[in-house]
Order: sequence, then structure tokens, then C-alpha cells
Amino acid sequence: MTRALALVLLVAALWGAPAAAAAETLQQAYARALQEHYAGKYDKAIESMERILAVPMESADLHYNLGCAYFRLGKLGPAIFHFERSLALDGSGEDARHNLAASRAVAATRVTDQLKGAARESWWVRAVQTLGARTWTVIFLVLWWLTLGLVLALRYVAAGPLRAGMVAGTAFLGLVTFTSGLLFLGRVHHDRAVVKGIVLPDKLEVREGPSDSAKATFKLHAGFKVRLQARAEGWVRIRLPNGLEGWAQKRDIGVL
Amino acid sequence: MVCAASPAWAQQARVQLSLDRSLAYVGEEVRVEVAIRINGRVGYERYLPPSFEGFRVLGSGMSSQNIEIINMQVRRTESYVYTVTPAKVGSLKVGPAAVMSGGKMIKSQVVKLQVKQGSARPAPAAPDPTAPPQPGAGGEDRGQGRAAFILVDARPERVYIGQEVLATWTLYVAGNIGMRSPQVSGLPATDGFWSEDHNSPSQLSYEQKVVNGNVFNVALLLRKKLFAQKTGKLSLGPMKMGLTLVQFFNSRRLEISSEAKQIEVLPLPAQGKPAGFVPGNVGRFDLTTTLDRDKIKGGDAVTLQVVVRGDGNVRQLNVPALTAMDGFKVYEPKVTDNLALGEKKLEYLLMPTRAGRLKVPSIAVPTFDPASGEYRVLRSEPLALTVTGPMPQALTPRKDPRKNVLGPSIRPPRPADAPLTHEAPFRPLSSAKLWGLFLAPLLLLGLVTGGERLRDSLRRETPRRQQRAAARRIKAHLKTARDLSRAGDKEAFFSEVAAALRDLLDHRLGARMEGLTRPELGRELERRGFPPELVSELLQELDNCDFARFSPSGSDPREMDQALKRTRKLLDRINRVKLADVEVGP
Repeated sequence: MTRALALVLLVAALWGAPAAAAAETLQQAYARALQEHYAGKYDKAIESMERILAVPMESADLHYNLGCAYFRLGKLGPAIFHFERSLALDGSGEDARHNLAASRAVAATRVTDQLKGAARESWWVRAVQTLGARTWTVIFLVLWWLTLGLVLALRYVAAGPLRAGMVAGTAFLGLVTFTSGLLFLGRVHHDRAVVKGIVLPDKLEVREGPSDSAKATFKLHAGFKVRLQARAEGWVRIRLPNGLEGWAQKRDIGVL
Repeated sequence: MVCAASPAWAQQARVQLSLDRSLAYVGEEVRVEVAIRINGRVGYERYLPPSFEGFRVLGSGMSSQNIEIINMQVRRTESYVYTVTPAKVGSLKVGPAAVMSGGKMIKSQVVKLQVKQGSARPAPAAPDPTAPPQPGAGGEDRGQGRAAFILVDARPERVYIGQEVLATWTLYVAGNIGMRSPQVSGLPATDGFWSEDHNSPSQLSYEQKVVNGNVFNVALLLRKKLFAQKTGKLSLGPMKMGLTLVQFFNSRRLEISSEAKQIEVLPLPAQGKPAGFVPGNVGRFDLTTTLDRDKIKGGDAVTLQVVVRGDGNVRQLNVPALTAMDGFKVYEPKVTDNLALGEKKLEYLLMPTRAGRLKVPSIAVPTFDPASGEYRVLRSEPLALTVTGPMPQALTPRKDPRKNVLGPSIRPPRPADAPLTHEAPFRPLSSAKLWGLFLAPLLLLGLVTGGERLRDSLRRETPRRQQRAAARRIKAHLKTARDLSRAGDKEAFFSEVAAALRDLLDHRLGARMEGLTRPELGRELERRGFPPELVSELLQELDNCDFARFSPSGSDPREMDQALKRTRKLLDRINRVKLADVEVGP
């Protein structure tokens, strides 16, 4: 209750209106932002939803809808960023996955990428990213229980063809469980250790150093996913999957 | 000195931002200091550094922190120092810096710095670096030598243009004197040099040294790699700093400075200069080139790494660019300089344009080696690359890149009917429930295995358990016999007595003796180590039992009591027999 009241006051404060006069719950503000979206006022919808995000509020639905609004405005970098955020919070969001793919497809039509293969991650990273952390967890848990269940059952089965078959099955299942455990842990490690970012502007010149006067080394297009290596004042050092590195302004990279 | 303070005192705190100059040149180092003063016991909650848009930040850190209590009033003073260099021409703004104190944001003002193009320094605020050192300028003269001074060391003092000079400035404070609040007030001018910091400490670290019999606390202040950019006699300016010396109850603020240092810079020899030599290529270097793969498929790219390592200014080092190579399309290289390691690395992305065995030619870098005083041309080994398979068609840019810009449709927004709740990314290893699910099967397996082992161990017949069971049985036989004796049941009494003896014999010998005749039993007992007299008495008692059971005479309680006593003694003796180590079994 106290948190709800605090959010109401915070929203009122963020809107710059007196609390008593313009108090509106986050839910109402969110509903109003969606109405603006439906009315085609995408810029206003974005402004309203960005304010809710600044509360702070992290929600897969909110990021998804923000991504839709940015897409409608043709701002593909922020759209891709918010679809990615939505998927990070809820990996089962099929519509977010679809819209993300659509946004990337549109971005690819705008720019002919000179850096061939720069976005291709190593096979291991691609393997762990085939499924979300939640799905890997469920798969591993099911296999883990099955394997240990079979090991337990073996204690009560006498020697014979049935037991031989069960031993072979347990060995195979153990191997599959081990592999899925590695992929599960890899996914968890990747999510925790790798700070990723999305290029927000349509074109981004990546420089040799954290300065506007530093030489531009290569260009990236909106929605390109990069790894964040280091930060300086207003700048971040980014790294591409192929090892290319450079500096970009912090405001041009949406941190996932 | 340019400085600006917050216009209003926000209750107890004040933030002051200052620059060490108002005019600077692109690439020149500028010192920015943020001083925070807070009156009161409570500090500030958060410090927000100033904005340095248009600058490169070379270094930052807290330079001092001081708490004073005067008349029960606490005053905290902190300062943050940044070394920045302007990256563009014009009027650049620094700041504001701010602190959050007592829920309020207290900001400094924004300070402007005029930045011009060029490498010349503005008129230094410090004294003329070429001026000879003043007597006693190194510190307070205390009769037995100076209490504190800065020593500058630069080697070598005679160099070729572009050659590396390692210069260090070190603070010496007499060991018997305390010192606090050291603050660098003037960095040494290095006009005429390309200057690079070389692992200067962010905070002072002291060690004790004995110089001419006097103990000093010594701390490295600054270490630079300098590369002369013009010939003649160049001077390293004095480094200045303020510090407070404390001895007993006296303290005194002091300004000290190092002496200027002269470096003689020679021109490069005109003779033997190779074609394509670039004046910055001075130093002793090695050149290596590598390809990340030696065999690829058509359409794949390889990375050619060109690495120059050695002693010298690798930032200034010019490696001839690869523009065109037969059989390759060469992309712009990624260049990284690491002055600390003395390494310059160029990474070229090469895209083969035809299949077959391609050759990456040798690369030549003309240099001047100051150690030998001669020119050298570094040459790499030529490399070979095999490209297999068909080559893909050349990529052509789209004729209309904006066609179908918003072509793919996206799915509509999600309605706002579900309550908006704050969500966190899924972190499986942070969930206690999931840990429970991971560990539960292991726990179950452990419980089942442990339970089975416990059950087996309880069921297992150990010698001790067998002995206890035999003792219990014999005790039961004897008790029954005693009861039968009292009841006057002679036949049953002797039957129990005989059973007690046989039971114990079975237990001791580890086999059933029931089917043996008396002579066989006697031989077996003797074979197993029973003394003959005991065997004889035992057989006699068993015979007595059989005789008494089947004799027609009436029951005699006294006879039964005596038989019980004899049996007890026999049982005791049987128990004490040390069995021979022979094969078990009759």
C-alpha cells in the first residue's frame, strides 16, 4: 500500500504537477500511453512510457509496447532495444520475438553492412542463446530428475535384459543431462557476465578513443548488438563478436 | 587559475570547481579540481563528477580528504582532481560537479575553457622552467639538509630526436618530520617533448631510504616517457607542490619545487637514411606478422596482424599502410598502441578475391636505432594463405536501400489490462526454490542409499552379535532348568541342561555337534583345542544328563542343583577355552 502511494506521488512528481491535482496511478498512466499509441500519437506514447520506465519500472509488457511505438516512428534502434529488454524479462514472449525479428529485418534493408560476419557470435554463445534461461532451466531440471530417478530405479531391478537396457538408457540420459547442464550454466553465465548493448541511432561511427576527435574506425547500424567492455566519461568501449573494438558515446548504446 | 563556486551556500556544503588555466591548446593537459567543503558531522550522500564533454579524461581520483574539528565544529574538505585534455577547438565547458547532501543537490558552476589549435603552451603560470633553481627552493633548510625536496631524474640526458627519455620526479621528506596534505601545485613543463605518463601512482606510497646517512621518506610523484620533438637543449620544468610539515606540535605549510633538467637532443644522422624513413620511427623495434588462419574457404576473410614491439614511441611509429595486395581486398586496419608494453598492433581484415595459394608479401618498416646510432629496416616474413572452394559473387549494394523500409508488419501492442508490476530478469541460480529442485533428487538418492545401508548393517550377523545371541539362549536354558528343578520335572530339567551345553559347544565350534556320537564329539573337541580333562568332564556330564532323563528313579532336587552348578562351571570353562586354529567342521 505504501509502495503504491509512493508510486502515485512519484508519477505525479515526474509529470511535474501537484500531487493532489494530477495524481494518477502507474496503471492509469500506462493505459493513457496505450491510448495515445492507438490514436497514432507515437511520440506522446513513447514520452509517457519512458516516464513510467524512469520510476523505475521494469516490465516485459511495457518494453514491448515501447518497442512497438518506436518501430512505428521508424526508430529501429530503440525499438530493437526495447524488444530485447522485453525478451530478457520474459523469454516466452512470442510477439516480442516476432517484432524483434521484423525490426532487425527492416534495419538490414536500410544499411548494407560492410563488416561481414561481425555480428556472428561463436558457436558456443550461439548454442547457449538458442533458448532462454527459463527454458534451459526447465529442460535441465526435467532431465536431471529423470536421470536420478533411473539411477534410483536401477537399485531395485535384478540383473537381466531389463536392467541392461536401463543401464544403457541411464548412461545416455546422463550424457544428455550433462550437456543440457552445461548449456544451462553457459546461458546463466552469459547473462550474468556479458554486458550487452544495442546501437540506438541509425548509423553509429565507432571511434578509436573516447573522444569526438578520435579517428572513426568502423560504422554500425541501428539494432546491432555489441558487448560493453569499459566505460569512460560519457563513452563506452564496445566489442563486436569478431573482436573489433572501439568507443561510442554512451547515449548511443542502450544497455541491456 | 579559473575557478567558480556554487552561487548559494546550500546550508552546510559548498562545491568549488577550478581549472589550472583559462586557455589551452588541443591535446594539452589541463588540471581540473573539484573541492567539496561540508560543515557538520554528516557527509554527503553522493558525488556527481563534472561533465567533460569535448575532453578526453586522462586520469582522475580523490586527491585529498581532510576532517577538522574546531570548537566542536566538524569541517570536512575533500577534493577530486582530474587530468583532461581538450579534444576540440572552441569554448568548452567543464562541469558542473555536484553533491547530494541532506537530500539537496549542491552544484558548482560551469567553467569555460578557451581551446585553440596548436601545440604551443600558453604562458605558464609556473616560473620559467629554464630558470636556474633557486637556492633552498627544494624545501626548508633545517641546518642538516633540507626537510623536503623533489628530485628529478631523467635518463639518458643526451638523446637523438624522437628517442625515449624516462623522467621521474620523487618526493623526499626527512624521516624525523611528519608530513600531511601534499598537493601538487604545478606539473613540470615538458615543452619540446612528446609526453606520455608511465605508471605514475594515483596516490603517494612512501618507502624509507637512507641518503648520505640521513633517513628520508620517499614517494614517487610522477613518471613520464618523453620523446624529444626538436633538437637542441630542451628543459624539463620544475614540479611544484605544497605540503605541511609537522614536528612535535608545530606545523608549517611549505611550497617546494624540483630543479629544471636539461636534455641535449641530437639530430638524426643524415648518412645511411633508408628510403621511406619517417622521422618518428626512432627506437629499437621488432616486427612480426601473422595470419589468424592459413587455409580458408572462398568468401571467408582472414585477419593479418602486424605487431611492432620494442623501446620507443609506438604512438608516433609509422608502419607503412597496406593499400593493395594481389588477390586480396584490404580493409582499413584497427590500430592499437600500448605504450606501457611498447607495442603497436595493426589488424587488417583481408578478403581474398580469388581462390588458390595467395601470398601476403613482406612488410618493411625503416627505423633508426638510437642505441647503435644506425638506421635499420625491419622486415617481416612473407606469409602464405590457401583459399579453397568456389568464390561467392561480389556483394553489390542494394539499388534502393530504403525500399520496403517498414515492410514487415509487427504485432500490435499488448493491452494494459494486466496490472503493471515491476519484473526482474530470470536468475535461476538466485532462486532458493530452484536450488531446492536441483538438490532434491540428490537428497532423495542419498536418503534411499543411506537407508538401505543402515538396514543391511542392522541385519548383518557379526561375531559379537552371535556371541550375544548364544549367551542369551544359554541363559534362557539355565533359567528354564532352574524353574524345572523347582517344579521337580527331572526329565525336562536335564534336557535343558544338555541343551545349554550343546548350544554353547555349537556356538564355540561354529558348527552343529548334534549328530556326533560321544567318541566323535570327544575327538572333535580335542582337535579344536579343548583340554582332555574338560572333554572328559563334558562328556561325562552329557552322559549324566541322558542317564538322569531316562532313569526311572524319582526326582531329587539336590541332584538337580548339583547338576546345575556343575553345568555352570563347565559352561564357564568352555567359554574360556582358546580354540586351536584348525579347519572347522567335524
